[in-house]
Amino acid sequence: MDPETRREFGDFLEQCKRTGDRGTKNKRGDYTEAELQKKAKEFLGLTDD
Amino acid sequence: MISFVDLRATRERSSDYLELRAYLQQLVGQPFRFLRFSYGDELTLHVGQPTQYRSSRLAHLSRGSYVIGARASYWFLRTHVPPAIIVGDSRPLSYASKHRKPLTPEQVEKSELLRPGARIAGVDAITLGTGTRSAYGFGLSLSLEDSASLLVLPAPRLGRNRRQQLVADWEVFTPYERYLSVGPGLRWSYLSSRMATKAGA
Repeated sequence: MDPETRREFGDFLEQCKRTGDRGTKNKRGDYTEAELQKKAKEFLGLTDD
Repeated sequence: MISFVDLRATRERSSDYLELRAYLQQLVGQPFRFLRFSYGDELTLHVGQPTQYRSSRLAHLSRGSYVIGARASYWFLRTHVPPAIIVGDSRPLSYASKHRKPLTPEQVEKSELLRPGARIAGVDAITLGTGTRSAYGFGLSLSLEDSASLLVLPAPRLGRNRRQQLVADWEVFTPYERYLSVGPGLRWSYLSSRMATKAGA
């Protein structure tokens, strides 16, 4: 992931959290490593999500 | 000596303080647009011209042509109206004292504490160190024309895991497909923002 895509991915994750698509890592809704991998695929359009 | 710095060129791993200050000057005169928190409660300042995200997943949002990211650093945002300091550090949001009122990222974003359109009047890098310790990093100081200001200070590295140790202290993404990555330590780079490198961690 290039730096700009990585930065946008951070914004995407935050938007997901705020719209209720939260991770299970902690009470803040952060994502586990496995969840981050899945979100990365979703962000990059590598799945049908 | 008089010299020329091409903002479209790249610069790998430097510790030259004057050159770092030179790269930062491209922010002067750019209008502040909005604050946005990225994943991990990273404060980002969007300045310059409104621009589309590259990702279609974020097509409903706009971004600034410049994005300043505090990464994992401490930051202090001084506002003029009302006169206040917003503090961002690594302590949990539940931390509070009678002198500090906890805020959520959403509250800060919606607060309109910074005036959209206010231009950056000055920006500089600060060499950080103490009398008994040699310099250990670069901070960022930025002021807007309406007296609001932002100070970004690298957080201590102790207690960070290996991956966190590689994360930059702060960054500036530019409209030239370049980004300034500062830290950890007294090092910085000005590289392509569209090419994956180790420094892009």
